[in-house]
Amino acid sequence: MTELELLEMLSGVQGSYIQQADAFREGRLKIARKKRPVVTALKTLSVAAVFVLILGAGYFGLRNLAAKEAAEKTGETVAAQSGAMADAEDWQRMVLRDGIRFYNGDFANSYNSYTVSEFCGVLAKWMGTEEAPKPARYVKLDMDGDGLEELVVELEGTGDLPRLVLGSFDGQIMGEIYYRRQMSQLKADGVFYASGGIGNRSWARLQRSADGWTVEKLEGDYTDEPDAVWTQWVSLGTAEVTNSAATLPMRENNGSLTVWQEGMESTVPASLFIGRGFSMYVPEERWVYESVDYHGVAADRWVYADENLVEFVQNTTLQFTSWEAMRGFYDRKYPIRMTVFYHAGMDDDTLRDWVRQVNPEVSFEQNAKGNLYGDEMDVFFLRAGNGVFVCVEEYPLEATEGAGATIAAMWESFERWPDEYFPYIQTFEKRSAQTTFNLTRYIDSEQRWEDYAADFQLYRVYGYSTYVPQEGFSREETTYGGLAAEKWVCREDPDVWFMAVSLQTVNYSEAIQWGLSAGGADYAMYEDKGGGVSGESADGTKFMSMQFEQKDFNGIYAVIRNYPVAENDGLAAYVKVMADEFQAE
Amino acid sequence: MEDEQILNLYFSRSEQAIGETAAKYGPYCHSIAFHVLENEEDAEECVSDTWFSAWNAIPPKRPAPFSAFLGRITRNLSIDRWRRTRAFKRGGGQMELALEELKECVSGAGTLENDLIRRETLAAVNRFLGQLSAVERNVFLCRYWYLESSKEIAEHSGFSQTKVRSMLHRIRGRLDTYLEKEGLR
Repeated sequence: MTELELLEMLSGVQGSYIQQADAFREGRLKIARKKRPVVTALKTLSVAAVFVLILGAGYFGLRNLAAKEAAEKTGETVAAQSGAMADAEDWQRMVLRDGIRFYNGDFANSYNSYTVSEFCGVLAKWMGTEEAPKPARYVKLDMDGDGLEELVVELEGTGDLPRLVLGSFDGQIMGEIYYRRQMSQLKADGVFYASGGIGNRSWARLQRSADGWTVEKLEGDYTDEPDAVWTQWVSLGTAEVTNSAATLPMRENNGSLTVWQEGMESTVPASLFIGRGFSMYVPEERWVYESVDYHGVAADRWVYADENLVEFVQNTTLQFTSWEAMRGFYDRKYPIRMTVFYHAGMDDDTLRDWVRQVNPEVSFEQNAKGNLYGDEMDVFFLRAGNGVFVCVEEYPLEATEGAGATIAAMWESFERWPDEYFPYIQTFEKRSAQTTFNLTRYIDSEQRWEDYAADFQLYRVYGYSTYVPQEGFSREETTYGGLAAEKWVCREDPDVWFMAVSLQTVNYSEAIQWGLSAGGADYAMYEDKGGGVSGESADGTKFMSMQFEQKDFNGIYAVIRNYPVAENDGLAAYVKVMADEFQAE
Repeated sequence: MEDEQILNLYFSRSEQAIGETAAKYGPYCHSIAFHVLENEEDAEECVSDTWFSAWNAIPPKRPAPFSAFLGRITRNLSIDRWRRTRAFKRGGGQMELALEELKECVSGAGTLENDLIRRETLAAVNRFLGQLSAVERNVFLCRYWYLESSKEIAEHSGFSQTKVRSMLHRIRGRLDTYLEKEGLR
């Protein structure tokens, strides 16, 4: 079709459209404009923000401060940098995370506001595709030369998908789409190649007006100019691959704590810890991080590596089965630790009552601010969003080498995210710390089935929880399929094991591909009807079953159980329970 | 006079029909012709030809809406005249500019000689227009049906010119994709 044919053909369009357009040009039709969404959050972002990105990048990188592997350091740095993006540019990440709506007039009778996900859904509907596209990568560039960065989002999915360019116009976010031919070869300075039909191709850039952009053609050839550096968009639970965050302002990854001890001020080198909804400086030495279940609530805990422990070990007459058991005993008896968690759904008084209830041995006094003070435990409360941060400080009356003062300094450095982010903080389902499952096993010698009870305890870390047998299994940290994994191996039969692997993806197709290849040549894996991956070992003696679990956008977990095909002593039931009880959080 | 009354005059073969039509729709049709031709004399002639065509077409036709019917005739006659005279003119008019812009949405190869394809394409364009918001559709048709400049559209819409150009740019992009998807580009 030629342009003239198209123009001529337009004569034949529906008469009512022609009439309406005439009324419009005569001013007889009024334009009803919808008010754009106002982004009130932008100007209030002053502390480390966008915790949603950090949830994954932060705590996976930081959860073991004692063992600072190089890889974790990388994650930590990224997390800190991301977390500290406290300027107005944060709207870009909030938009990507569906935290801010933007304004677009492409697919509705008037300008509507959308989240990115909603917009992708509308786009899919418009294109007639079943699966909605989703953000694949993004870049923040000054597209129109006004000194402010726009957000360019590239979508992945079916069909010829446009790029979405988003910009802030007086605090309101406007999004416009540009198809591939309208915007390709994006350069670092915002210049792009635009094709407007035969003989109408050139380099171009956007020009900003009061409420949108036009495409301005440029003279010259920009082919050799540096390309825009895209950032792969990944969801929560995986480290974000970016090389643009490095230039952003931040809450420093490395800092210090000022500790007062016996009237003297001393400085303790500290690292930034980024948790769910907060950041805090933690001394670089002698404080061991643990992720714990605090009476049914996931919590961060730092335990002081008390040198007196060595003395205790040398002098104690008590018998312990493992170092962990001894350590646990010592910490319970002589705790120097700080525990932080976020508790939603309780008013202040109820929450204080709950704290008293779970610490019956402590006699608390409440001060005017509502904090609780006991002999060896102080509890502080900080409301955030619809919940409260609770800091439990435990130290002996005669604190060791100023540990109590250090805990106070750590809490002093605590910063919560702004309220706008708290709707995104998940609260965890309360699960009992211990429970009993009824299992069934076949008694071969007696040719009968037997019901029996097995005790399990809750295992909860960031990202997931499950119940693990109280006895008979050993936990180990390992790698599987190239990824870090937590594995529980049956002591009685090492071929019976359970494993949880955090996959670096939110894409189920990728998860399945990983599952098919993770077993290597040892297993012949196939996609099973349950949406997971299963398969026998090459020698036919073992069976592996893999299911994939995800909560919201926190990244997919591979939940794997392995057991002998001929296994008949009921051990496989344990890993079945562990898999069935697995909950991504 | 109401359209229905004017049409009755046509059906009764009263020459008053042309006078009434000209009185009511003269400025409208002139506006259409002038935007295409940008020449007063040519526009006048096209409008006169429009009355003649209407006189020949009614009856048997009883068009509704009447204004769109007349506008369509004027537009076709004007484009036809533009095509015949463009060899003697230099570019720069709204017609040339609009065509330049519409290149974004077409392959450039003539395909509409086949009436079936033409009708199919027209149906697709109507569907596309139906998917646009009313404002977008009106802006699009002001530009490519009435051949108004973005400045004129901005004046009567209250939008800025850049906003109008931006909106048109996006609609063209979408039309291009739509026609491509329909295999009609």
